[in-house]
Order: sequence, then structure tokens, then C-alpha cells
Amino acid sequence: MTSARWADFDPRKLLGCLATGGVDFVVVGGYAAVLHGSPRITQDLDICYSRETHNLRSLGAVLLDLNARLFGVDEEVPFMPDQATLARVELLTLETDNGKLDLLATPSGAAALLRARRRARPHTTSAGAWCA
Amino acid sequence: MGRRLELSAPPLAPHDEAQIRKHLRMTPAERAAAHDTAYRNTRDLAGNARRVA
Repeated sequence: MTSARWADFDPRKLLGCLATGGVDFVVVGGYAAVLHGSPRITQDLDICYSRETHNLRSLGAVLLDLNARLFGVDEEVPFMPDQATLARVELLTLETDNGKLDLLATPSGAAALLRARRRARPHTTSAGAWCA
Repeated sequence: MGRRLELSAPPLAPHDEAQIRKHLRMTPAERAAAHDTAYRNTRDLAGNARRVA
């Protein structure tokens, strides 16, 4: 039996999909701490991302591939991660077939993606993914 | 008229420094793999746990 709170979570798969999908993003939050050496366990992947038009398109395409839907919404609420939708939101909490994924446009402590990226380190398990 | 500043801090929660050292010696890829294993183990434990009165 699996607790609903401990859903399937494959952060490496999520990172791989984002990287191969050409998304410009930085890993932040608990999983970034894990990659830096914290022995904690986290149940979701937090990323911040460039809000440039082409990147929002890439991100939207990856979210469709991941079967992303709104987290914590019991009813079947249609969610279309198109460029216009992604450009409007500051925070999206999603569940995917590979676990929970939080999208933060301007997370606290990192005013912009570029600022975060200057301090980021390459994440060696997924080419192109960066960790703040 | 002098003033006195008193500072205090709550005691740190106990933590396993050996585990921290072990993780810091790992590569990011090894840390990711260790997280996957720990996540699966914790999920299994949570799934098998039951509340006792």
C-alpha cells in the first residue's frame, strides 16, 4: 500500500524531460539543497524558469508530455499550459506522472532567473539542468 | 549610562553530522540517487505504518 502523500516521484526523470525539451530553468528549493549535499528528503521539484516567449512554449510542451495537471484539485479542471497561461502565473503547483512539480516565476530570494543562474551549478545527472 | 546587550539562542536540534559529511563527499549524481532510495524507503515505511492509540 502506498500513502497518497508519498506519490511516485522521479525528479531525475522530470529534470531529464525539462532539459531535453530545451527549457531554460534553474532548480531551486529542497531538491537543490539535496543536490548540494543536504541529506533531507523532498517530495517535489521546484524550478524557476525564463519567461521569454520561446521558453514558455518549450515549458508548455514538456508539461503536456508530463501530463501535468493542477495539484490538489479533485475535479477534472482543464489545464492548458500554453504560453499565455504560463506568462500570467507567478506560482503553479502541478502533479505529473513523475511526481509533483512546482513552477515559480520569481521565487523569494532569487529576483530573476538570470540572477539565480549566476550562482547556479550544473546538475551533472541531466545535461542542461542547473541548480541554484 | 551603559547598556548591556544579552544574546541567546535556542539549542540546535540534534543532527547526524556523519550523514552530512557522507553526502557532502558525494557527487550531485550520487546525491540524487541517494535521495531516490531514501524517498522510496520512506514511502514504503509510510505506506505500511498504521496509527496506534
